[in-house]
Amino acid sequence: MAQGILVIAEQRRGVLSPVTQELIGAARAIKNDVGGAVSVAIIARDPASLAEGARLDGVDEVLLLPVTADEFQPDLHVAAAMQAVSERDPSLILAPHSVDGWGYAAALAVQADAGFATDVFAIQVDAGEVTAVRGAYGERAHALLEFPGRDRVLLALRPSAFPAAEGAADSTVTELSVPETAARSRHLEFIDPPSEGGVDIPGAEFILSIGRGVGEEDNVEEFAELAEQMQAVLGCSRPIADAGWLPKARQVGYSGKTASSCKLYLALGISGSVQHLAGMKHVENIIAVNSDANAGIFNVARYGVVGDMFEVSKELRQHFE
Amino acid sequence: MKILVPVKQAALVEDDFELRDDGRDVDPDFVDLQLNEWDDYSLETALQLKESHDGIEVVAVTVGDDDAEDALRTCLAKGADRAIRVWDDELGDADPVVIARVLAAVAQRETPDLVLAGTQSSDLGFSATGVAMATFMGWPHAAVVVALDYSPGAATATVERELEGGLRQRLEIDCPAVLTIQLGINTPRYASLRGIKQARSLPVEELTPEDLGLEAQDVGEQACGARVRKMYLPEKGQAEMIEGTPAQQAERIAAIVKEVMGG
Amino acid sequence: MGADRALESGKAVMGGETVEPQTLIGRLLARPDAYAAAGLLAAHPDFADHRLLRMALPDRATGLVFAGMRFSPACLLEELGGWQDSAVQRRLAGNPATPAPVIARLLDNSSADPDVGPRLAAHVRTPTDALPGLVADGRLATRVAAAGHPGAGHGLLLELAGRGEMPVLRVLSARADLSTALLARIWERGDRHVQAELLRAATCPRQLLAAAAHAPHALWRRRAAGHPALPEPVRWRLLRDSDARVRAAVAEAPTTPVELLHRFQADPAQRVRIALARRQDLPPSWLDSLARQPGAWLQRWVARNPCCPRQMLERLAQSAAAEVRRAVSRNPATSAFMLARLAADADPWVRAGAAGRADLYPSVLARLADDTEVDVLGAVAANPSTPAERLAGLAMHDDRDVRRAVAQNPAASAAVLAPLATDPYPLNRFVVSQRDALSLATLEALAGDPEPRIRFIAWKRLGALAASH
Ligand SMILES: Cc1cc2nc3c(=O)[nH]c(=O)nc-3n(C[C@H](O)[C@H](O)[C@H](O)COP(=O)(O)OP(=O)(O)OC[C@H]3O[C@@H](n4cnc5c(N)ncnc54)[C@H](O)[C@@H]3O)c2cc1C
Repeated sequence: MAQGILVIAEQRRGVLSPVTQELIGAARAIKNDVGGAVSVAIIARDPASLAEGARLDGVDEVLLLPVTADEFQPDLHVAAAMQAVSERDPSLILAPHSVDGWGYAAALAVQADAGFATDVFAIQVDAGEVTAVRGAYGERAHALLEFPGRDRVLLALRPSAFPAAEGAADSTVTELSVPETAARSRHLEFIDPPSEGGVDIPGAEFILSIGRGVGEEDNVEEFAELAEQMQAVLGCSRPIADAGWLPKARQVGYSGKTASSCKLYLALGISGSVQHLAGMKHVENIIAVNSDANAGIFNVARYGVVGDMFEVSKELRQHFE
Repeated sequence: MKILVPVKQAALVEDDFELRDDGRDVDPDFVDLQLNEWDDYSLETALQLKESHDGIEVVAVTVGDDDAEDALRTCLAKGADRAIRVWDDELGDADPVVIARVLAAVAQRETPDLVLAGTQSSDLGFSATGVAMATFMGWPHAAVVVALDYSPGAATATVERELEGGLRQRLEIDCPAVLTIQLGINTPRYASLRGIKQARSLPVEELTPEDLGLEAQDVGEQACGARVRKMYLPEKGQAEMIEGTPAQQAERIAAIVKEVMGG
Repeated sequence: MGADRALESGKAVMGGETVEPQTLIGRLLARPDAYAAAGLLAAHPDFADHRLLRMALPDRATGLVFAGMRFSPACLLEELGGWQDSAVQRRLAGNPATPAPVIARLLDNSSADPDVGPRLAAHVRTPTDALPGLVADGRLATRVAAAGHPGAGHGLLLELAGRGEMPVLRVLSARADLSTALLARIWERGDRHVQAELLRAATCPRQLLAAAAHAPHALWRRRAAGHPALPEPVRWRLLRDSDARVRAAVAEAPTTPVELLHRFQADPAQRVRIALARRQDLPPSWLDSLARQPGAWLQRWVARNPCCPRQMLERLAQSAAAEVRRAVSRNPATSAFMLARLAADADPWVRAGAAGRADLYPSVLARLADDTEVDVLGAVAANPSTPAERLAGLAMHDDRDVRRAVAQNPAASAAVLAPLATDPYPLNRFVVSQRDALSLATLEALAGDPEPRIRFIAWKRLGALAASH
C-alpha cells in the first residue's frame, strides 16, 4: 500500500524556490498522521548541487533526479517525478501551485492516476484520510475536498500559505535514474521584467490607486503627492482615466493595466467593481479605504478602513514626510 | 488547419450569497454566468491567427449544461466558426481531470492542429484543465503563455511564459501542442451587435460523452480527482477592519506599508 | 463622470417623435424581458401594472438582483418586500432606495437574521423612533450604525455615548450636530483620539481648544488649528508651533486669516510652504516667492493655483518638469495663447491637458485631433469645443477609449451619438444610453441591447417619453 509523502522541489536558475521550503514545512506538519517517510525530489540537470537546501527538518530522504535540461521542462519533469513515484510509492505528493506547478501538476496527477487538487492552503489528515481546503469564487467561499477511493493524492499547495521548514537535518541523499525522455519544448532564455521608465503599473511593487471618491480633478494632485511621498506608483480606476484626470497608462483593471508585480495596493475611494478587481485582486496586501462599509472592495482587501479618503490621506501624510 | 478552443461558462458570485441546500456549492440564484475571462484571450489568440492566415477554422468547445451555451454563442459572435457543447447530467460533479478527459475525446474527434485553452478559470481557478487535456492527448504543452509566434503548419512555435515577478521564459515547443493562454497576451475584442444577433441562429453541436466513446466510469464521480465535501464561508470576512479615528487608521496603514515595503 | 447617476432619471429624447404607453406594454408582452419591464416600471407610476411586475420578477435570481439595486423602481421593491426570503430581505435592508413602507415591514418582523438589524439602523428611511428598538438587539454593529444615523434622537445618542464603547464614540465624535451636552459626554468617555476629533466640532468649548494648544500630541494641536472659533491667543501660539505639521495645519485652515501667514513663505519646512501655496487667497507676490523656491511640488501647486497671475504661469510653463507644465495647462487662468504652446509640448500628458480645454483656439484643437496619443485624442474627443465633424470622425476611431470620450462629450449631438449606440464595446453603449441628446431611433436600438442594464435605461426613457404625452 502507498505510504509516505513525496515533495517535488522547485528550482529556477540553479536556485531552489522558497516555495520548496513551504512544501517541506507542510509535509513535516502532517508526516505522522500520513505515515511513512518524507522524500524530496529534486529535478534538475545537477540536482546534487541543490540537495543541501532540501535537507531540512522532517526530510528523511532527498532524491536526486538528473534531467537533460537546465530549466523547467514539463516532459522531463513529469518523467522524473513519475520515476520517484514508482520507486517510493507515496500516498501523498506535494507540488507547488506556482507557474511551473501549473505547467506540470495536472499532467503528473493524470499519469500517476492520483486524486488531485490545486491551490490548496490547508491539509487535514483524519484517521489516514487526507482532505484539503482551497478557495472558490475569488476566496468568497472555501471548499473542503475529499478524495474517495484514491490511495494516492497530489496536492498543489498555494505559495505563502504554509510555514517554511527550517533547521538542517541529515537526510539521506539518493540518486535515481530517470528514463530517457524526449523533451518536446526547449528553454531559450529568460527575459527580465523591464525596469523603470514611464508609468509602470505592471512593474510597480507598491501602488496607491484612487477612484471616483476623489471627487474632482483638483483633488487628484493631493494624492499624486501622497503617492510620491510614500514612494508608491499612482494608479486609478477607469472613471478617473476616462475623465482625463490621469493618463490611461495609470488605469488598473480589465481594460487597463494589471498590477502584476504589486506587493501592496492601497485603494482609496474605489468601490471594487469586478472590472477593477480584475487588475489587482491577486495582490497579497490590499488596503482599502472607502466611506461605504458595504463597498465590494472590502471583499478582496486584506485590510479595510471605513473612512474618508481625504482625512486618511491627510493623516497618512504625517507619517511620510 | 483547425484550432480548438476549450472554453468555460464561469460563475461570478455576488457579494452576499448563500450556499446550495446540500452545502457543496453556491446557490445558483446568487451567480452570474459569463465566458471565463481567460478564454476571451485564448479565443482572441485563435481569431487573430485566423485573420492573418488563410484557411484556419476556429472551433470552440465547452463541457457544460444548457446554461453554458451562452459562452459558445459569445465565441460564435466574436468569430468562431463552429461550437460544440458536451453534456450529460453525470458530469454534474466533474472536476478538471474529467473535463480534460472529455475535451481530449473531442480533440480526438476534431483532430485540431493547435489547442488554445485559458490558463485558469475565474471562478474556481484550478489552473489544471489545459495541461491535463494535453496529457490525455499525449501532446506537448506549455502553460501561462503571454506571447505566441506561430505560423500554421510549422513544426514548432515560439512562446513566452509569464513566471513569477514579471520574469518571462521564452521557449520553443513542438507542434501540435496545447497552450494555456494568460491574460494580457492581446486585447480581446467585443462581439459586434450584428455578430451577436447572427450567433443566435447559428447551430451549436451537442454531444454526450457516450457519443465520444467515453464510458460512464470515465466521467462519473469515481473518475474525478477530487470531490467537494462541503463549501463554507471563510471564518471572518477576509479583510481585517482597521478601526479608530482617521489618525489611528492612518497610523496603522503607515505601519503596514513600512512592514510590507521595508524601511 | 456621474454616468451611473443618470440611471436615476428617465430622460426624454430629442425631437418631436412620440411613443404610446400601450404600444410599449404590448411590445413587452409579446417579448417578455425582466429588465425592460423594470425600466418601464421605473419610468412612471402609470406603468405599475401587475403584468409588468410579474415580468420583472421571473425568478428568485432576478428578484435578488433588483432587491439590491439602487435604481430599482419603488413598486418593484415593494413587491419584493412581501417575499419571505431572508436573502432578499437582507438586500432590501441595505438598499438605500428601499421605500419607507418596506422598511416599516422589515422593522416589524426584525428577524433573527443578525445582518438585518445593523443595516436597518443605518438606513435613512428608518424612522427616528424605531432606532431605540433596533439598538436593543445587543449588537455592537447596530449601535455603531445607529450612532451614525442622521435621524437619531438626542436621547438615544446620549445613552449610546454613556456606554463608553470606543467604536460608537468614534462615530458619534464625527457627527456634525453635536450638542454641548453630547459633546461633554463623549469627551468624558472617549480616549485621546476621540477627544482629538471633538476638537473639530463647532460646539467645542473654547477652554478645550485653549488647552489643546498646549497638548503634548501634535494631533490635538493640529485639530485645534482648524477650528473656526479658535481664540486669537491660541492661534498665535499655534502659528509658532515647533512642529511643522501643526504649522501646516494652521496654513491649511481656511479660517486662518491669510495676513497672519506671511512668515510661512520662508518656513523651513516644505510641507508648510506647500500648504500655503494651496491657499486660494494668496497675494501674487507670495505665490511668486514660493514658485521661485526649489522643489517641483511647490511649483506644481503654485501652477495649479487659480490666483496665479499670467506672467508667473508663463514662466512655469517653461519648467523642465512635465508635471508643472501639465499643471499650467489645467489652470483656468492660463490663456489660449499659452495653451497653444503647451499643445505642442513634447510630453503627451501636457498636450492632453491643453486638449481638454474648451477655450483652446480652434486651429490648435484641430491640430491636436491628429495626435496619435490616446490621452490627447481622448481629451479632444471629450472637448465640448471640438466641431461636430471631428467628433463624428473620432466616434469611429479604432481606440474604444477615444470613442467613449466622444460618447461622454456634453456637446455631442444626437447624430454624433447615434453610431455609438451600436459600438461593440458595451461600456460605450452604456455611456450613450445615459445621454440626453438621443434620437428615438437610437433609443429603440438601445432597447434591444444585449446588456440588461442598457435595456433597463432605454426602456425607462422610452417609458418616460410615452408617459409625458
Ligand atoms: C467593459 C468594462 C471594462 C471596464 N474596465 C475597467 C477597468 O479596467 N478599470 C476600472 O477601474 N474600471 C473598469 N470599468 C468600470 C467599472 O465597472 C467601474 O465603473 C469602475 O471601476 C468604478 O470606479 P470607482 O470604483 O472609482 O468608482 P465608483 O464605483 O463610483 O466608486 C467610488 C467609491 O468611492 C467611495 N467614496 C466616495 N467618496 C469617498 C471618500 N471621500 N472617501 C472614501 N471613499 C469614498 C464610494 O463609497 C464608492 O465606493 C469597466 C467597465 C466595463 C463595463
